[in-house]
Amino acid sequence: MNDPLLEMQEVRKSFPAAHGSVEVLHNVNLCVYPGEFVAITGSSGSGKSTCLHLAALLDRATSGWVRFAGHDVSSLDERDLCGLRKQMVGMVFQNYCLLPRRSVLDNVLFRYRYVEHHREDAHASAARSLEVLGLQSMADRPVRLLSGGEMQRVAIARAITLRPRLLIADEPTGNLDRASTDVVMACFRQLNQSGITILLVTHNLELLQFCTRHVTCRDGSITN
Amino acid sequence: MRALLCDVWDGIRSQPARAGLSFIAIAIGSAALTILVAVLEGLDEKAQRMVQQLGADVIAILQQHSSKEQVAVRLEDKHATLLAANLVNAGVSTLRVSRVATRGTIQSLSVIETDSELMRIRRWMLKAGRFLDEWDLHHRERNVVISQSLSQLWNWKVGDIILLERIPFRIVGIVAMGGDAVESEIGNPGLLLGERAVFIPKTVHQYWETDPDSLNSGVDAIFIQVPQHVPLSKIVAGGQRLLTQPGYTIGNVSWVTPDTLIREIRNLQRIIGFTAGSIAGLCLVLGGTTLLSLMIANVRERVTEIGLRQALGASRREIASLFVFEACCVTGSAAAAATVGTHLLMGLGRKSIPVQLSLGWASIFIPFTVAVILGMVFSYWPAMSAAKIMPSDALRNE
Repeated sequence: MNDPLLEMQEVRKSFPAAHGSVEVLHNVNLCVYPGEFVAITGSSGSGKSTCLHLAALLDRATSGWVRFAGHDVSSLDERDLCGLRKQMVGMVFQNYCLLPRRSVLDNVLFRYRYVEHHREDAHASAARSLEVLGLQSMADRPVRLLSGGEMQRVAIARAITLRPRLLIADEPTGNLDRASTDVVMACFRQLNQSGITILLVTHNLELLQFCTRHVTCRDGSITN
Repeated sequence: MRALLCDVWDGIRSQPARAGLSFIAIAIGSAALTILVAVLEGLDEKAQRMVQQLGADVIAILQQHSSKEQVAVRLEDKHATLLAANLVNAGVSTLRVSRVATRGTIQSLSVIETDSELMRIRRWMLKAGRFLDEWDLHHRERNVVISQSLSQLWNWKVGDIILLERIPFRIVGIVAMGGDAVESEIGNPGLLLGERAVFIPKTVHQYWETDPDSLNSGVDAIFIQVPQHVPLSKIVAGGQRLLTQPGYTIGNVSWVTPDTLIREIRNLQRIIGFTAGSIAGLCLVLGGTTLLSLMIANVRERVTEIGLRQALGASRREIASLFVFEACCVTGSAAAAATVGTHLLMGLGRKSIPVQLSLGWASIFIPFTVAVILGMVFSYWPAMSAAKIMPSDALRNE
């Protein structure tokens, strides 16, 4: 088997609180291999979002170690972490996090905001992403005029336009109806089949049918 | 840069009312500052011009005409002779001003009775012909030299004959005294700061004087050109000592040096600088605090966007610089609009504004720079707080 793309070992994460600190993750061990589509489920407050933020290199573990694409995350400084995040990680959020005053294409191009790029290459890649998500006809439309499902597809297009090694989705269908959920999940499956590794956090157990592996987060620990 | 400007435009559009308030407040402050700088620069230019017109190394002793007693001990030629004899290497010249009617005009002229040294001491430029010389003085020639402004006003040329109190005089030279007339602001015509004047040899004034009091050797001003490397203050002190000798004591005179000439202007500059500067400063600080509230609200309401940017790879510095740049764009554009508007209004209403204005680069550059610095200062704290937000916390805020 290949080396894991993401590896967490004995990871603990605490947050400061009024009386000392609260440990949200205890001894988490998780490996995600290239090409996998892993779903993390769990109840609210179980620590799955914290786990996701560690995986997305948005936060650092209090103890234990996190390895991403061969890099020991704890030894990276802020700049290297930003560099890894912008080149290798794509993120999709429950509330889409789009720029409402901009067009669909501009929102996808926003992925290049902090990445050195050629304008033509970026436009071509953004157009390809929109095509994959079936949004090419809406490229010039302001995103505020789109439906929830369409907005989430724009968010996915933005996340994949740089061809990330790991696509992280935090409750991507949480605000969508059944039909839109199916469309979005079909997109995820298609992307996974094209070789993108996906880490999905969801409450919705029906989505597990789209995934290749399922782990559960309970009381700050992960079980396969 | 284009991406950054797009981000800034989005940020401003997300809070149009607050951004508008900040814009207006900064614009008012910048307009006040623009006017202040224009007025102070105008006064400065005026001071420089007055010094230039008097001569940086020239001292003037002016007779003050305020009462009969003082006229009795007025400046005379003998004082000038005493000064010339005792102040080594100093040039000394005298003049006497009278108003004389001339045919063909409705105005009277300032006729300056003087010697051949005046033009050299005051460093005026000869534009045509020559200045009065010793021959003119000795032979009481009816020759005149006119100022350039007078030549331009009445189209007089060298060789023309003019009538002063029905007595014909020949124009032998035209001299440039520099600038517009400002003597009225000093209150003493003896200074000759850019006056429209006619110069005649001081030996010929008796041609038209009928008043026996005037037929004496009284003068209105003595000019002393200070030798190089000698401080003006030293010559003033020496001259004042000389003019207190028995038989030479004079009454009401004022000693004018470049410093004393511009002292009033400097005082005025200080007063205007303090009062108008305080108003402009208060307006700008008010604008700055409005901007601060805008930026704080902006950061609070854009936490998710900050998280998104961090998720897309933005560093803390890039997040902070986004908010600082946004604030600087608001303040900079407000200052630019205010400066352009104020310049247009001042340019249009220049004639009806009672003070001299200088609409130079300083009145553009200073308000703009102050506004941009204000933008940096008042956005620093919100920008730093934005940069300190942890990406995970920002995205949880979603």
